Amino acid sequence: MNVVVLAPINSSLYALLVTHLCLQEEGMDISGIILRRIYNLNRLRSEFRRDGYRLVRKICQKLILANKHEIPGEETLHTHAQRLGLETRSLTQLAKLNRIPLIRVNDLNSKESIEFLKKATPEVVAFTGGGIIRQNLLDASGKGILNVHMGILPPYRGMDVVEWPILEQQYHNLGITLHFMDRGVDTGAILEVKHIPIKANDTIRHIRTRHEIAMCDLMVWGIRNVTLNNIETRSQSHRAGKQFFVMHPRLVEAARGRLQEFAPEQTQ
Amino acid sequence: MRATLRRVLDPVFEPLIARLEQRITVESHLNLATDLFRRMSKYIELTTDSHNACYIQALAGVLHLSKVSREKNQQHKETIPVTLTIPFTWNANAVELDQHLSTLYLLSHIENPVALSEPQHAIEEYLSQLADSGTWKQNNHLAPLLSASILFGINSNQISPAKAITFLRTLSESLPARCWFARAGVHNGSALFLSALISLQAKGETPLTPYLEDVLERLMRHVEIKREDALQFHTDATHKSFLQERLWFVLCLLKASSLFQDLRLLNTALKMHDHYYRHIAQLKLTSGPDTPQRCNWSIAATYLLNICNQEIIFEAFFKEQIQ
Repeated sequence: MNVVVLAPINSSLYALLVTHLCLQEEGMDISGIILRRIYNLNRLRSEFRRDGYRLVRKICQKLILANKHEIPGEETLHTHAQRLGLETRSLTQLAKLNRIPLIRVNDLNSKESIEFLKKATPEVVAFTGGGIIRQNLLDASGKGILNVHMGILPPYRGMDVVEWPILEQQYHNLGITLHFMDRGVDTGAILEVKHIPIKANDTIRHIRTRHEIAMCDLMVWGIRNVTLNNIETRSQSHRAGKQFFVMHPRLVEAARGRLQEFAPEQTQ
Repeated sequence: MRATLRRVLDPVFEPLIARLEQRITVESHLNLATDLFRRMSKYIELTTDSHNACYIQALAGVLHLSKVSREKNQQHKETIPVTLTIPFTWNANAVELDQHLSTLYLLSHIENPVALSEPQHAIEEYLSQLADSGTWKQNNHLAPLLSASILFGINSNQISPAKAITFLRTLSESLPARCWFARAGVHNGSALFLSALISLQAKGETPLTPYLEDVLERLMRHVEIKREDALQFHTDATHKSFLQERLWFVLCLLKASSLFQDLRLLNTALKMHDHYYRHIAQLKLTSGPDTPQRCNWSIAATYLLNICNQEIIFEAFFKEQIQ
């Protein structure tokens, strides 16, 4: 099983964990990592346009605090990584240790990425973040590019899809979806949907953390089953879901309010 | 080292980012609305002792505009049709307010008052003018006039829903697709057109529902991606009329959010109000019938109406939290 990982930043814990778990799998070989450069004006500009001041928080959490926010009594992605024996802090370090070819690019759709993929000839590509994917990259990605979306597809496409089902009181629609990427926003064929129930006294941060941990396992499960042809895909109709966007702070507050009033029987 | 950094930075970054993220709060909007109302009240006699203060605020702006319009018309010794005398009612509803706004639009743009007394006749005339004289590029003014006349006709029940559907369909099919709710921008008058579609939908007329849903989806995506740069107009209209029409777009999103029970539309509307806050806060409001003043008053009235609608819709969605 020959896999290439697409990563958004060098210290991405999610990308590190996916790569680490793939390396642990018998018969699975990481034939390359394509890493998006962080210090890229175009990237910063486009992400600031998308996220606004949330980007400052993201950078602060990911680079300065290294995503090590702890939640008392709950497993976080960081503690999960520790438990799984991940010792490296960066993808470059992990690639060096395991002799995995790694390239840094300004844009995942660049010529260098395509050339790299053509040489690596992966059976499947794992997407762990890094922006919009174009057709030329899709064409060079073997069976396709796998993504785990932090939301249930098809109903919840796009951004903030942990908060949106809570706001809409669709608590049963919380979970993650493994799907192939296509040119649309979360519209590719679905491989697996995993519902993640919420518990009493959960906060949005608790729920997001639980989703992140499950995403790593689902991605590795997906890579294994896609390469072994053990899995069936289900195409999505464009009309079957809606695209959601970054939630306004006032609505985030309203979602928090709804979560506080949540009783577990509401998901039944 | 990181633990120490975290201890030091966490208490600083979190409130700072929260402040930046929510730099325009609902209180900012309500304060601005109150301030605008106070400034408007200098010129009009109004009391605020009603339970429905928001509507009064919106009406305050509309009422003043109607007075100014009447004064202007009298100065020019024109006969004012009966429909132009906008009644001030304490129990005005959304349709009435819509009606006031489309009336004001028509008042400020038409030379011939037939659009208000016989909208169907006016629409047919505009459409034939268009057929006779070529392209939309040469007839930029016709799209907003047609849309406003159709909206006025629907709300005043002077056009039957069947006729309105035909007109809206003809208009949407004849306009160049690349500049009518297109990715690159919108055409002057498209907010009024959208408003007319929503008014029809609110009356239970559904033949154009798929088209309306498609337009709303495209509009929402366009605004969410382009943010402050969204809704560029393919005309050489002034900045002020852009702002007016952009606010009408927000009004459309708010009404559609309530109509379709879609919180995504409310989400986009909230963001759009934040984008335009700075421009509205800089509005100069003084009395006088001159065009820039009327334009400012019209923007202020639409903003008040929007904030009023926003709060009513927000309350309807989140009743349990507000109680």
